[in-house]
Amino acid sequence: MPIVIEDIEGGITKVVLSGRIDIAGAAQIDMPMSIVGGTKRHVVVDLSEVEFIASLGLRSIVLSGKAVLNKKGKIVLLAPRPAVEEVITTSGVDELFKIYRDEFAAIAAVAPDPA
Amino acid sequence: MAKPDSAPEQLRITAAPADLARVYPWLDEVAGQDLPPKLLEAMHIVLEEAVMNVAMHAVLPEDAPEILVRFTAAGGVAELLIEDAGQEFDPVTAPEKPRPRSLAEAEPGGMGLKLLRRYCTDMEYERTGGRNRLTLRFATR
Repeated sequence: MPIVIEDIEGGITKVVLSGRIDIAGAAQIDMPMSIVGGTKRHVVVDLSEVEFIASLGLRSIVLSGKAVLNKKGKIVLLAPRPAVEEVITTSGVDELFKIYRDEFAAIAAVAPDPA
Repeated sequence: MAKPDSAPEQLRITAAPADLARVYPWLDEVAGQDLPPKLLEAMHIVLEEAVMNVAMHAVLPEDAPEILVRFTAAGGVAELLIEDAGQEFDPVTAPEKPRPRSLAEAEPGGMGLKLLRRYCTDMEYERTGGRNRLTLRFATR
């Protein structure tokens, strides 16, 4: 499965995508990403293990991101490989999500505000 | 390095998801031996966009539900032809949507055109005999 969803400390959800998010991969992540979008508010999408992504996979991430944002949540991308980052940049998706290299920084960026 | 001249290789698929997913292994089989991995990946990105555009927007007629994909390589150029009998759509001249300034404004459509334009060297579109013919070219050297 090219998606694993982990609830980590501090109310943060880490979504780990992996492998090829192509037509078949996008079909596999679409529903889980929708559920993340519908239920989570502090989300880090770890792209470090993604080998391939194109418009369908990005579409899934953007739709999920919009849903998180609609709930006043926060979502960022973590550590895409250079070829994947080039697709993200070319498509303009880099203007929609902050991209972090460091996991701690990514987690801090989406963490709930202290009460 | 592409072979100097190779016979056209073609794939006929419908817009069913399992069929659409066949484009990558098909391309690897017909082109993977000859093209550098980075170029092959660019072709995967572009081919996904091209066939998904047809599958999601072209409204293929019931009596002609197939998408034809053909690969040729000659003279330092690899070429993908995507042909269908759906509604007319010219991605070569279609305007790009303005870049959204935020995730809230973003719509998932429109990202793909940017990928098409970036990852192939040259594109050509024609509408002939009620069919869309999109040719995507890639410099192989």
